[in-house]
Amino acid sequence: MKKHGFKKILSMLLAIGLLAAMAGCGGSGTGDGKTPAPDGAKDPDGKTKIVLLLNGYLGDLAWYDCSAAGITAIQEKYPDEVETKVIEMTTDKSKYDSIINDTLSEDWDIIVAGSWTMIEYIEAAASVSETGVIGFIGGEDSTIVNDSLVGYLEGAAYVNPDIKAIVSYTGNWDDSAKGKELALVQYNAGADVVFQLASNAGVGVFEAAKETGKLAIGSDTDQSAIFTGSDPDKAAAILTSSLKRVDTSLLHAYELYKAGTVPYGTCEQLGLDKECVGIVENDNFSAHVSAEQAAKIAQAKQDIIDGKITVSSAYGMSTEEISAFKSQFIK
Amino acid sequence: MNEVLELVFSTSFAFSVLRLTTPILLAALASVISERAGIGNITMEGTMLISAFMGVVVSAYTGSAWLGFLGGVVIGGLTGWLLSYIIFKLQVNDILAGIAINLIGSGGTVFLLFALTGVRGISTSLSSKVMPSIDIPFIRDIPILGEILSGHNIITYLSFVTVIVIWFLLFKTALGLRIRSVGENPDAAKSVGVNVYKTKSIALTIAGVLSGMGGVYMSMGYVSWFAKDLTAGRGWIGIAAAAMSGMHPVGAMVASVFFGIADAAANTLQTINLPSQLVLMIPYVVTLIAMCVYAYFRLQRKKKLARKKA
Repeated sequence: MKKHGFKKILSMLLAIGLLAAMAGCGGSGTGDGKTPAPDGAKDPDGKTKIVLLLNGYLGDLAWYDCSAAGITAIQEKYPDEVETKVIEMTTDKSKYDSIINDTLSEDWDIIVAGSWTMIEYIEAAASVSETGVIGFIGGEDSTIVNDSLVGYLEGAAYVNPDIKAIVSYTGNWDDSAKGKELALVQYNAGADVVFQLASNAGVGVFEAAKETGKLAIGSDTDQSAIFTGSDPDKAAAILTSSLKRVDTSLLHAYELYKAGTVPYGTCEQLGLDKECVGIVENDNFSAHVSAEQAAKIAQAKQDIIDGKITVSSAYGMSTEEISAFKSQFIK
Repeated sequence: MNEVLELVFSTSFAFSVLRLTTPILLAALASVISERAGIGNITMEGTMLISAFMGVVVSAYTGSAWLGFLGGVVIGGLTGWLLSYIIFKLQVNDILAGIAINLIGSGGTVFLLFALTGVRGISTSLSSKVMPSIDIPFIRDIPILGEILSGHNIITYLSFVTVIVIWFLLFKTALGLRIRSVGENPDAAKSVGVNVYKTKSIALTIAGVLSGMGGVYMSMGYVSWFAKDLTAGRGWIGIAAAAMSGMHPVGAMVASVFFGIADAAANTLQTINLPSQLVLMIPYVVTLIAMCVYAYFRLQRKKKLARKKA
């Protein structure tokens, strides 16, 4: 009898485990499905309802977290007018269609989805590179990732025309051990600054930088700030981070919406001039970059805003064009 | 191309091979001992994730890397024991039970991580500890060899010591004999008074401990945090390595080092401008080819034996 009882508890535990597995894998979508009913009742308040759909998870300390911060910023700035929600669609592409359809059928006023076209420009790497070799680690060989690569390489070539680059891809966004391994290979091959754009997998790059005493560049948000508390050495190995201020962009977009001037159906490019992209200039950055170099970077930034320098974008480039572009820089 | 060769023949390449081999080797040993006991155990990936998570959490809350290691290994052993209970007492198919444990491993850890830190992706907000790296005296001072063999994480050394321990256990002890006999012919073993269930659950618990060590290595040696699906398929590669080894611990070591070399080579080849998709395929293509070659030779040997008998 006692044995039987134990079995029951065990099968319950297993069931809970499976539920946990489902929740972990992407319960957010199903959990959120229930919300419209109570929200619908509140609608007479005249609140603008905004929902953000992420094609990944919160907790990447980069892109997705930054987008969610944008939504929070809108909520904080206009607490009385808006109602916001973030849905993590996870990386399971098969779920996107149904979640997007569900969301469309609910009474949201604004649905934010998809990725942003960003043009960025980092030359800090080339300024501080002593070996003349820089590294890049991307999550996958895709247009969005290569767009940053193009900006990175052009920026580096602007400062040092002879710059050489090593480009690697982890092939997924989770394997941080692989990110570390690839970074170690790049440092070993002579790179002294590595720019990572690989979500969770890229966090491994910072650890490699810390162990070898070389430098890394983070992406999307100020990633050195994340480690200042828990691991100061690691924070010190992060030279700067390329910012894609999704949060600022979202706030900007909402303000346009309020003013009724959203250019629907077109693609608005938010660049350096609206402070939607940029690089982090913290103490750590100033420690590695001289005042002269910093001035040069500021000048380049102004030139881009004024249109004196045009930065190429991987959008619209064919695969052949991208690989031809890369091979200019690869040693 | 010359630069790639230079990188491949550098000491840091050989060093990285050992670092890449460690988790695969531990998973392969876990698979070897399970298969020897006659159980299709596919839980290495899930068990590694559970242990990797447990190690980080225990070390973060106790402040001790060794307690974290212990926590990870104990939960690994418990997972192995739980598997044996599900398979033999509850009479569940071993592959189905294995799938359930793998799902708990990948989803459950993310769920608990979210419950603990409020973040789904990575545990960087917990300041967890790392197992120490060790410089071996004397060997350290040998040129080249010292640079390759010294300075690894302690779990890397443990994993190679484990090869000898498992070999000794399987082929030189009474327990090993019992494990092999219940694997080859459980009825015969039962007829001479061997407790089949007990022996099998000991084998699975040992397999869990080995996977657990592999998991703790990932989160407290290789990198210093737990992240969603941190093991990224290394448990599965370990099962493939065990299949290639002919279920022998030393063979498993050779196969794992082989996979380590394939991995390290793929990472190094990325430094030249080859299409990344092609390079990322290398470890998996190597797995496939190695399995085919192994299956071919085993078939030849079987045919030879059959001919001899005839």
